[in-house]
Amino acid sequence: QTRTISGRVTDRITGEGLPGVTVLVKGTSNGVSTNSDGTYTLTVPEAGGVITFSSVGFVAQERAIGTDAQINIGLSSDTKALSEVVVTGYGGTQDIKEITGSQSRVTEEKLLNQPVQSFDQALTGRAAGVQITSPGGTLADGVAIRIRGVNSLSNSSQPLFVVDGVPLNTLNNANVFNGGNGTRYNPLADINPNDIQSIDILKDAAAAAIYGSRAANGVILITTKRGKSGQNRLSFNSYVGFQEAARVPKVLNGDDFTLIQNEKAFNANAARPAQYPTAIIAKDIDLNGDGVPDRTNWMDEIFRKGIQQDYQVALSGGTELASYYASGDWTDQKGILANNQLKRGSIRLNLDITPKKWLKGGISSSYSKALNRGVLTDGYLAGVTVAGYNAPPNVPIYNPDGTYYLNSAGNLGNGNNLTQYVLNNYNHPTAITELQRNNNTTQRIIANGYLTVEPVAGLKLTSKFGIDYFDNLEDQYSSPLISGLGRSYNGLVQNNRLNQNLWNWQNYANYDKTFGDNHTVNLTAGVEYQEERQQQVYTPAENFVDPKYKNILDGLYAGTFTGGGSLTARGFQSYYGRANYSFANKYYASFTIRNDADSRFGKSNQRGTFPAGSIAWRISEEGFMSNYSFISDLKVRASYGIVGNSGGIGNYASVTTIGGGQYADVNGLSITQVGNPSLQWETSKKLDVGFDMSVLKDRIGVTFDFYNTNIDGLLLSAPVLLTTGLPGGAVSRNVGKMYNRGVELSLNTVNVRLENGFTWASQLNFSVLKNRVVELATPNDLITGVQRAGVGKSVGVYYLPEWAGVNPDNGNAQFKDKDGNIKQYNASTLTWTTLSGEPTSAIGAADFKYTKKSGYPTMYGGFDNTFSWKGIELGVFLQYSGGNLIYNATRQGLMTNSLNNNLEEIKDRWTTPGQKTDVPKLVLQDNVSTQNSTRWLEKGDFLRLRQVRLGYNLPKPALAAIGGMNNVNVYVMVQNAYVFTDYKGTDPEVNSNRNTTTGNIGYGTDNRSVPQPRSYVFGVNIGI
Amino acid sequence: CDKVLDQEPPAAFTTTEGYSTPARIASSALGMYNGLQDAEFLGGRALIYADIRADDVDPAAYFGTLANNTQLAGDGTAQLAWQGGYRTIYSVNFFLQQLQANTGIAPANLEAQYIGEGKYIRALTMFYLVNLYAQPYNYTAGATHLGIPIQLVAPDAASAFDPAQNLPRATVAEVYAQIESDLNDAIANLPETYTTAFDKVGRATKDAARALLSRVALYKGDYVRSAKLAGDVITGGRHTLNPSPLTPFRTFTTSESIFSVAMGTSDNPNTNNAIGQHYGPSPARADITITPYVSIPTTQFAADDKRRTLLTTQSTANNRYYTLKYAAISADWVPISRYPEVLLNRAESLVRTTNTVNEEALALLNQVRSRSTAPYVTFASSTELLNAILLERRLELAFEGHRMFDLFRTKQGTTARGSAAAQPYGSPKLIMPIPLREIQQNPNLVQNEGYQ
Repeated sequence: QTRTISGRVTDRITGEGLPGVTVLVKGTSNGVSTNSDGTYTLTVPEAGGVITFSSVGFVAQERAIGTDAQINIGLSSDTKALSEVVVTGYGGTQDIKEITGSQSRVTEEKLLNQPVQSFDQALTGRAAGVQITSPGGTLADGVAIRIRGVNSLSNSSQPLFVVDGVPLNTLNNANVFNGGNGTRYNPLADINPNDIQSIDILKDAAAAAIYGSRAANGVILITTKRGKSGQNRLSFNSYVGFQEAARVPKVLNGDDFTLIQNEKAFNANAARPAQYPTAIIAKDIDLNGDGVPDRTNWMDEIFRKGIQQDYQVALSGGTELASYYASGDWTDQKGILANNQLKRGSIRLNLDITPKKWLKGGISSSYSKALNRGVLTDGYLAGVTVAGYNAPPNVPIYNPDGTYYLNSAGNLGNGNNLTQYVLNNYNHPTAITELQRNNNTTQRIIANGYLTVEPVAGLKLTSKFGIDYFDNLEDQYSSPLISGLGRSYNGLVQNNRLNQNLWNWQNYANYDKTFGDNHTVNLTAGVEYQEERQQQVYTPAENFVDPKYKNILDGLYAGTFTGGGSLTARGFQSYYGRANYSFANKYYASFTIRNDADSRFGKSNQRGTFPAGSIAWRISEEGFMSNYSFISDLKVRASYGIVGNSGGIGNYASVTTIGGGQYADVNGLSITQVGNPSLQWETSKKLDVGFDMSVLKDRIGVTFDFYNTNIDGLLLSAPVLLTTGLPGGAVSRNVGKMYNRGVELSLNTVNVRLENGFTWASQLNFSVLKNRVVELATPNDLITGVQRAGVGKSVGVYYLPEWAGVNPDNGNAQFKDKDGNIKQYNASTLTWTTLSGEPTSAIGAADFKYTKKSGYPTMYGGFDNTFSWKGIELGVFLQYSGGNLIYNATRQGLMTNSLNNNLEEIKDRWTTPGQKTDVPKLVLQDNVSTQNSTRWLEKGDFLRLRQVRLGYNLPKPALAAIGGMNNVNVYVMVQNAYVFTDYKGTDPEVNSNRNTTTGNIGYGTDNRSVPQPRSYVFGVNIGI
Repeated sequence: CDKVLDQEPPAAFTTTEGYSTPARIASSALGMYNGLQDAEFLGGRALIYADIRADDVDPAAYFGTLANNTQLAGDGTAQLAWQGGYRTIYSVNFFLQQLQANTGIAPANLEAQYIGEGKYIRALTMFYLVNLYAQPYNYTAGATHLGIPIQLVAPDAASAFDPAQNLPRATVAEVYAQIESDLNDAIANLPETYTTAFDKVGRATKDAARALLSRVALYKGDYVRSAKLAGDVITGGRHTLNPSPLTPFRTFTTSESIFSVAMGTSDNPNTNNAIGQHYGPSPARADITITPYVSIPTTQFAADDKRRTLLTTQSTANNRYYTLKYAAISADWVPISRYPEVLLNRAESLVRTTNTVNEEALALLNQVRSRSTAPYVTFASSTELLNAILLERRLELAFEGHRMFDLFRTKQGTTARGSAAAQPYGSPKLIMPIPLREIQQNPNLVQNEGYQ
């Protein structure tokens, strides 16, 4: 006698139907699997019995059959059994619970549909020990990534990026014009974040040593999505939104501008009339004759509300024999700066086939094309944050006839202001963005194919060949209408095509075997070859027949500029091996070694060996732990290893070269580089001790690490005395020692889990670190701007004279000399006196002092909260950072005594005896009171409400009603909602020194960086 | 596959390869001039720095603190110029070292010539460095005040960090002695002339070295020597004046030009540093206007003087005055020695040594003057003649890197112009600071007064 029962199995947390759950009459073989929506129908004996519901990753449940015809049940996920597999490189994967090194993972849900240009920006605050600094709101600008602090001084501190097993081209900026510091394009923006399944961040030597000489800054392994058998799905992911500058500098309006400038002149005139015959230097103009003085708020002209949109369609699925993932994506982002835009289309196809049990092969491939309309920003008079911030607000944008208001030199017209007191010409902020072109178009193919055979069980032999082909066409146009090269040459177009091809061929063997019951070994050994070759071709064209023509078109220009080009390559060859051993899930040991050879070093120095070892002990498996049942898992681990860093070393840095040295138009040869044949890798000796623990049935997960990295042979672009005359003024040398020590803590907690389905889960990560330079073989500090690397100090420490405020009696700027005595500077008489009025010498080099803090944060982290209830999900993500100082050169540059616009702060200037203020008396052309000093240093601490996301998963009935969708998630999100900080600039997350050689020491200087954007986004993810 | 490790630089020779054939050594010799073209120094900036603070140009905003004499020790311009100068010297020292190591490959006469060229370039560079970064020769008796470090070697990657490289500042007298020694060697080794028009002006000759040494002697007050050297150039007969003062600035290779730093369109089209960019009227950058020069009274600088009518212009766009000496934007050759200077050097030296209204001096002066305006007839006193020669020098050699040094050697300061205050002779603000970076790194360096 039988009867039929039916029902639905759902996820207890999300309420979604669970497919593939085994529903079995206990003690029999009578069972079924649930359908895709979680429903099942089962024939059961009338006599009753028990049904078990089981599924991988969920806690199995039993129910007595009873008399009901319907049994619905919610399964809760079994976090303990749900193994998370992490990627370890070269075919290696490991259960996260067996990891003996330090490794963090960020998965797809934190990367999908983020309003960012590249995935690295989405990593901010997500992982302990990983600090990501976005330099500002210019689209596709490079991001500074520091894993466990700054690991180099003159080399790159950026980690190694590996996509699906193949290292990426090492390019920080695809653009080369303006010395590579004009408009920038971060090549990581070519990788579509929506295609990423997971990002594994290898932090300590145990995890990273398999990448040997490139591992010192950490390694970021990116795994793209692949198809799964049995799930043919189409998903559609999209967002639209807008972004705006979260905060812009408050500069003076027209009336205040006139008042302040004339006060500068009045004071100068009163003090030195012979030199300053006029007391009025700023005067209004009414060009359009409407009876009111012309006024312009240049901030409104250079900033705008940008619109962003992204659409992705992805197909994935497969069978036991073959699986696929394919996607197409289109994104169009208009930035917060006028005319700044990034458009990218990308496609991906990942295939795996397993025709035989012992044979597997596949490809991972992507193509992307992006157009970046760049805008010059900081560092250039024609940059918008220089021109726009400096420009006088008492002149119009346009002439009455609608043309730009320009002077005869093609700069912004100066109205009735007196030009001789302008420090630098003002470029016309609107004209430069509208008339100049700073585009680049990249095309990129990142692809690899692999073949794996398994001749005997457990042994896999893999050969993988990958390429990263990168092509960038940089296209700059300078208009003849405005000042600059276009004007000099009657229009100038410059094109540079850079292509860089990397090929990588790796062959490795993986062997997994369990001996007896308890001994598990896992071995990897391999060999790898790699070559990166870069070619550039440059073509200029000037003197166009008509301003209509803005491209290199035959016959339409009469210029004589010659083109150029370059060719450079480097090669890499390695052997590597890894052995993991575990005993009874209790004791773990791992040993990794890599031997790298790098063509960039001198013949006798080309090879280096990088070993690392680690051990772990799962204490929770020991019998004595049974008394502590609240601890569900506890593992302690330790690792030590030596890894290297060579990022940023020139391809031929070891040789002295005699290269091109043209004299006028005659060929010649000149010394182009003084090479150092004894160059070597920097070596990082990394120690890591930590534990992973789960308590209260995995309600709380803790990962703790202490690390100590001793870096030896720091490769410095060591500055030589300029009197040596060496080209470049510096030599790359292995001359220093430094350490980074720190503590990292990650806490994953389920804070609240109610019966009604409400949960509050959070992830907190916290990092503190300390950096010290231990030794420099050069006798002196290394200097970038106002920052230094000096023995006993942390990298990026500031070295400045101390500001002592404004003398309330006379408005003089005051500084402290080396002994702490106050010296005041009278800008009217150009004299220095002591506090009591005795003449004294100026503040000079001897009076500079180190600050206690540097430009690097000493603590940072993230706090991510997810509140969910019946399909509604609220994410609140906070990011924080602190312990650093920022040199606010933007403020310094906007508080000058020249004729240019100032910050509103200048309205606090000293005017009357007794007045307490921090802004000295204004005297035209006084550049002493505003000189470099601690006046411009500010605390960089901040807490950022980085993301607030409210999402809703449509419930099953609704999904069924709209055609049987798998899932529909809609959300609204605010990115960078608010920043709590005392920093006076636009944003404390700032880094104006981006390139390799200045970015390590000069980290933390804000020099007219573009403000950070705030984004508002509406998005939808649909699965069918 | 292991070949991936054998990567030769595609765009360069190794040191050994670069000096292995006579042709490569010849190319490397030309490379020294590439060093001389340094955008921060004798590619034009060094000349500008000598004029921007003197009384012929307005204090250009572009050269703000320098033009206004308000530089601070950390000034970027001061550092870049210093670096540029010593980089030029490095290219010479490196060449001389390599040539010595590979001696016998190039023909002996050419080796001698290359050595002469190198020493000329080194002397010229040091001459501008010492005059920009130190008080003039006549500041102390015997020129015992501090000059600049004398760098005669090209260190390699290792020796650059040798404590021996913490060079102290030599006295101005010692620096001048080195310059004279280099120029004497140059005169001994250089050819009288070359075959191509380009080489005749763009490469160093005996006359180029004589002309510069004549100027060096003039600055030292060694007028006998200055007259003698200038006389050697004049009697050599290789140089003549063009009928028009405009010609040498349009055709760079006439015999009037004794030596110029040659420039081509391929040189620095992307930099702002070309001399024509700064001086030229729009469409060049047009940074430097010359109101004081055109304001010289017509009693001294006649209204119809061709140097006024042909070589200056008032821009119709902004009504400001510009020189027309540099009209090629970035391809202007940088004039170092022109024949008129040699004539005036000798004229001045003759008057100073004889203290008479020297006939030859008057003739030399009129030789320069008469192509541009009416010649002088006679002078009542030697002082009047001397003043006329000095005025002529100002009018003729304006914007060619002479004026401030000419003021200094006659113990004059600068006048107030626009926002720049007048500075007396010997004012610390009239010389550039030793770059702060150097002071901080080199314990043996002493900073200039007023920049501590």
